[in-house]
Amino acid sequence: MENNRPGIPHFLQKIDAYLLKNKPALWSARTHLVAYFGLLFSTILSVICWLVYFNFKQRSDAGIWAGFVGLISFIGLVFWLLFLLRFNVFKRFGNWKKGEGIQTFALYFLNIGIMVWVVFLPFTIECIKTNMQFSNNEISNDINEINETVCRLEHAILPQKFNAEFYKIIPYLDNNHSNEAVEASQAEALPTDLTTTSIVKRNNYIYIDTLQLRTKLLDTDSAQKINDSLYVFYEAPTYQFVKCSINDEYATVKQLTNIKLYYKIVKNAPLLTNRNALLNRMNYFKEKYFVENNYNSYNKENKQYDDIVNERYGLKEIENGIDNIASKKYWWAEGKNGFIRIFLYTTFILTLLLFIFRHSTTKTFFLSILAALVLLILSSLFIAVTNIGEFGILLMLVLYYIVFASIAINTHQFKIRTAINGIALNITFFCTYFLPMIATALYYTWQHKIHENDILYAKTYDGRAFASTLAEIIGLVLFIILLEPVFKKLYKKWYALPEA
Amino acid sequence: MNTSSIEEIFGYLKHNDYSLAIRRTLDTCLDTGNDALINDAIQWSTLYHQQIATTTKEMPGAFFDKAQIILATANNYLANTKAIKHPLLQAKKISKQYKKGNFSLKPIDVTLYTGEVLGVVGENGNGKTTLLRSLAGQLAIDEGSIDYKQLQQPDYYTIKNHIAFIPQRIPKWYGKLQDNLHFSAALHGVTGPKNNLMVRFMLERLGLTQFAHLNWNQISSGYRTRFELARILLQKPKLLILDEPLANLDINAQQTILTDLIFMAKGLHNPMGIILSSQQLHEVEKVADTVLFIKQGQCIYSSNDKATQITSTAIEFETIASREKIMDIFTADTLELQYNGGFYTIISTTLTSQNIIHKMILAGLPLTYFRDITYSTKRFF
Repeated sequence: MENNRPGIPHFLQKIDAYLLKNKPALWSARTHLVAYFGLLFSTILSVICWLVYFNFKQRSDAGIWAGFVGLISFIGLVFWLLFLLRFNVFKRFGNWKKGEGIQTFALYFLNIGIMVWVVFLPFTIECIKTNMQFSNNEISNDINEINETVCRLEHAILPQKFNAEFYKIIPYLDNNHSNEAVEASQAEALPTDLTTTSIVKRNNYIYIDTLQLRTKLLDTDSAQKINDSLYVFYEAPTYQFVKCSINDEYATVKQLTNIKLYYKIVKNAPLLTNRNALLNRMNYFKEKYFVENNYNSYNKENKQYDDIVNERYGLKEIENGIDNIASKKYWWAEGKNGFIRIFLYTTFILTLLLFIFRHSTTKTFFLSILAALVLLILSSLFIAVTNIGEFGILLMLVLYYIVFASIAINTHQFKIRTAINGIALNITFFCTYFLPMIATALYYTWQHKIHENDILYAKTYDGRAFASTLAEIIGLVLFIILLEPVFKKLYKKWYALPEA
Repeated sequence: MNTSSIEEIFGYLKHNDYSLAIRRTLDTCLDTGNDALINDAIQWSTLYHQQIATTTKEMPGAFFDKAQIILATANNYLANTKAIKHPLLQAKKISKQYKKGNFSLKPIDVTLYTGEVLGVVGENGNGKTTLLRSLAGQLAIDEGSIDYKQLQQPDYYTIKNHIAFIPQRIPKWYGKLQDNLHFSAALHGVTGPKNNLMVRFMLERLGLTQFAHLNWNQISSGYRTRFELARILLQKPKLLILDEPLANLDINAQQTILTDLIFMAKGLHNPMGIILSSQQLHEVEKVADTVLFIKQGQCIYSSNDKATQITSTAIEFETIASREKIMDIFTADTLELQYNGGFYTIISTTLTSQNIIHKMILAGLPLTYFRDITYSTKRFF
């Protein structure tokens, strides 16, 4: 008996027919159709994104594209849900095989993942295209050439004197600056004869402890040790008019800093025999990177040398263009952790909701959402009134979980199907993954509470990031372990119970 | 199943009762469990349906030849086989009181074996659906016990997998009708080529093949009942509970469906018990092994107990003669004559139904309708 569906290729029809007659659980999830149409849509979208012209140096339009694609994806999700609701293996009291609970969850996750992923596609294409157009070193080479050229052209107005600051070293500086040594030296006057080639920026000492001194010595352009407790730190004036710090992280050719530009160009007054060639070069860079920037104001009074230079060559606009390119180019490299989490958590939470909907009655599903919202409102009121803090909030979440889980676990003892029991089961199912994370946060908040005033506490606190990641993994493992033997069983028991 | 059943089918063919012959043949072939034979029977049935769609409507010789081969093969498989009754359900003193409303189902006993049909009759709102839903595990009972004899310490999911319940208002199907059938069969373990075969069989058996490609909104309510029945039968339930299944069917379809259900219930393929409620008293009484009459939540009559309960003859009839003329016929007898505006009912403790009709005919009473309702629940309405 052939069953032709419009718009579906022959091979997919065959797969569909096979799954329908042999693997009803797989068939009802419609992963084969979602994967096919998802891939088809992704391919078409990728081709369109690739072919559509976009200006690399302008601000990214991918957000608008993502919004549009998100809407299409949402429509796809609704369509899939409509198809999904037609055939429910669980609610038909069919024969369940071992592992079908996990399999179903995984398929839902995959389907929703495909629909969530396409939203990221315009950004991905933009990133790939920009990376193909601009290499890391091309940008840093251009930045260096721009800065060097400007320094050559505008050498006459560039300042030569470094900025100097006086630093007093004390053994330990607490956060309140109430150290006795600080107080004792407040009245001391600055030395006046230290240097004649610098501009003293501040008329008082800056106090740092020995740990900060070590960092400062690594960062500074130049330093002079007056005695064991007094240092002068020098900072070159701004010669690096254009920079892009993200690019500097990834390029092997590093951007020339102020001090490097000083030694390379500024210190030895360059001969300007090729001024026109340099100007032509600047025009080339302007053409390549210049993007109008609304928030630049060159009309201020008392213009400094850098204001003059920026305005003359449009350097802020050039930097704006470079920043736009860099934000596209390093979209994935810079944001991948965040994107992966957004993608995974969005997909996971939607999958949880769908799984609950498929295993619960419609009434109980919506009552569960309502119960969660009411509980949230009441808890927020309680928190606002009592001011119980982070520890109290986390403790409250754990207590809620214990209460709901206790009701849910007792499902097998119930004689009738009640909404309260269903709500408890739904909320327990939803929250189980997050429990290890809440427990970890609770532990560290508790530790923080105990060691709040302990200077050595930071050492124990260091492990929190790792513990949180570990808690995410444990949560997932716990969820997978409990899904089939506990939650699936409880849902089966609960759903099949007679009504009152 | 035995040789006499095969002979019965030959009898139907001989007297041109082709439709019945085909339905019985399909059931017989299903009982053999031989896929090739089932397939042959489906093709034979298709041939019949193609033929009656033509203008000639006369069956070709090949039709009868094929019947001979199929039935002979089936006979080889089924010789000396017999369906054995197994206990299926025993409900003791089950009762139910709704929290909202005053209605309550008083303690009722129900016993059912495979191959048996239990009919539940009664007026609207008297507890038929409550009883059926309780037996199906859909409603919690307050008192009593239900023992599903073929299940050992079952949970409700297992019970609901074991029982099929068709409610009065069948929930809408989505998607193509045949997809639903394939899905339902696969869900209950009928997969691969067997899935195709069984769906084709069920469509052919219930006369639904030509509608299989349609969807729910494209078929009438009568066909919806049949499709639901096909879907349920593909699940091979041990106990089939139907709430008012005849409500949406025409007179012919009612008779056909009921007869089909009996044949399927008593078949070797999946012997099952059937419980059905209906307002069609005579149709149900004709096929049911036991009939329960429920009034105001109480079982006031069970046909199983008829020997002890029924002490009088009851007949109903329709005539244009006057009440006086009727009474004149029975002046010598003690009886009660009731008239409801349509039918007369005679209740007598001394006369049998044969005596009553004999007297009426001798008196030349112009009868247009006569029915013996001595053992029918009709007398309780």
